[in-house]
Amino acid sequence: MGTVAGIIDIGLGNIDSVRRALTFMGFANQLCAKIDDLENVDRIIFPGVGNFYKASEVLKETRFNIAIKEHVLHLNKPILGICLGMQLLCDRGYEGGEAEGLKLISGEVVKLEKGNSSERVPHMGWNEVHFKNKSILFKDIPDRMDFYFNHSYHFSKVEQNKVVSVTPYANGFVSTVEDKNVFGVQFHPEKSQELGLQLLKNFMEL
Amino acid sequence: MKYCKKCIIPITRPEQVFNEEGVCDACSSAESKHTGIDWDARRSEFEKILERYRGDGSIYDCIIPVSGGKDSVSQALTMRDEFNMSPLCVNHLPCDLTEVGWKNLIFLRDLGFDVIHVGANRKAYREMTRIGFFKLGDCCWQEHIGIFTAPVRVAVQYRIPLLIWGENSQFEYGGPASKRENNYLDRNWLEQFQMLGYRISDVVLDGINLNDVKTFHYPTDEEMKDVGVTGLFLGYYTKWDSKKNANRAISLGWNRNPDGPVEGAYNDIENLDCKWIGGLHDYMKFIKFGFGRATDQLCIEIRAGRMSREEAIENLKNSSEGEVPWKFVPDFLEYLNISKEEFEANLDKFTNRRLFFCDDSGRLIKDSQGNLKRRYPLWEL
Repeated sequence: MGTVAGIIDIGLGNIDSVRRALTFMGFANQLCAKIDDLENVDRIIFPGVGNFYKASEVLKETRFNIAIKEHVLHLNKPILGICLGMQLLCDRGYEGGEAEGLKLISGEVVKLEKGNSSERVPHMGWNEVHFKNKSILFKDIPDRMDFYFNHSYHFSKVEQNKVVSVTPYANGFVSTVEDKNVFGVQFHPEKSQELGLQLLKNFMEL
Repeated sequence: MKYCKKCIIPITRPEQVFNEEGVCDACSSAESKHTGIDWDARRSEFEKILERYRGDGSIYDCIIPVSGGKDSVSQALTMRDEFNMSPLCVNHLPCDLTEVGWKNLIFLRDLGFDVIHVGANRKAYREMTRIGFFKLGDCCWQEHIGIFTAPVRVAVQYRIPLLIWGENSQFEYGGPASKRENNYLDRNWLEQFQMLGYRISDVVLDGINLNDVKTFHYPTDEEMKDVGVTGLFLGYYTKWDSKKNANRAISLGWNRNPDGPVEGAYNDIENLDCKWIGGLHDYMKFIKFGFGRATDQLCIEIRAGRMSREEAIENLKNSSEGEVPWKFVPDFLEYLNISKEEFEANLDKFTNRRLFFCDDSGRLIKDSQGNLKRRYPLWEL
């Protein structure tokens, strides 16, 4: 059996589209609702929508905060955080009150500040992803292509060498982070059509 | 572009009539609603009709078409608790129900109502949606047929002759004067106002087998006559007030939209059930006619005397009306299996270039989020 993706399923948002996308491309996948489920997978995908503070609480309650780090740092399984799942890779966030992240990539998650009066928060819709550093995640994906976003907070204070891409909205924010086997995208590859699927494929074929 | 002097509706609204003073007919009929109607007389007229249909509680004696929205919840409560009827609620399931939409349908059952859900064959439904979006410029065309057809079909099949519709949209939003006094909703009304001139039999031309869209077939005149189907508008017999309906439903535990105003709307209490009706449907109206749902909702606030025209203009300016409703677009693309480019090209095709700025080569001017720029915004007139 090939690579199996585990999709973390702890009530943090719509996991169906990620699952459909993986299944559509023929990648084996399973939902991980409890920490033991992580044993059977080689890749971890962490989708999420909603509130950082609440999500942080759920991670603690379910002990996924410890289990994820165990699998990523000690067993070297690659992880891809999507949207809130990406934000949760950081040290701490401020949505709904200060809360701890997984501390897999150093940084903080703060509210988007409008760059001009015509911009709106939440940032919703397709926007460009500008490369800052080369990444295997974007193999066969050209620079400055559109991906689908839907968020009000963003990953900040990231070390420059861990920033893979930025997006020109709200004065520019970090849209992809990477550190060894830890990857995070602020956009939704599962909702970004062909290029999004390509990105998921790249992650599965790492 | 002209706007009504009393509310903020533009003259581009189809079927709209402005009088010599520049006032739209919805504003005129709002006045008669406040002053010219003897609501007590209407109520006793209604009572008299209901007497003929009311059962002893052992059978359903009327059908109420419901979406689970604030109005249908209020309608069901009114019919049961004020008029002592035993309603059967009929819900036509939208293409893609939202979470809050489903919660509110369950809420309706928690209030003690029986609900029949009519779920159309999703494969054919998708093709109907495609016709609506690409051919007719209304992604909810099929939905509008469904919500008016499903309850009538259930009425025929369950042999429950009395249907209680809610508001008469022609009355509340404006429309041809002759329709305003109508309290009967028939096939003619459906075809004239809801189907954009594209009849169900026409879908054959698009390769759809009529046998696959049975839920969309309006019963025949014979079937209707046999059961004696009668449709009445509750809004004709009792003073319709969406705001009151909302307050009533909310006080009982009904759910508003969880993320604030629906995309393109001013309030968070309408069009919550379907992923496309809130955002995309109203956006398509915007690109064709230059106004969207927020305008409609603010007009109702003005006509009800709850807001001044100036306040409404300010609220409109601050609303998201006219912004591409991106939230559920990825789901829509996946549903129809189309690309974002096809989606955008189709929107451009239905955009009225006389209402939005174009560049020298005639291409629509858009900002970084794909939003158009109005030529005649009300706040700049």
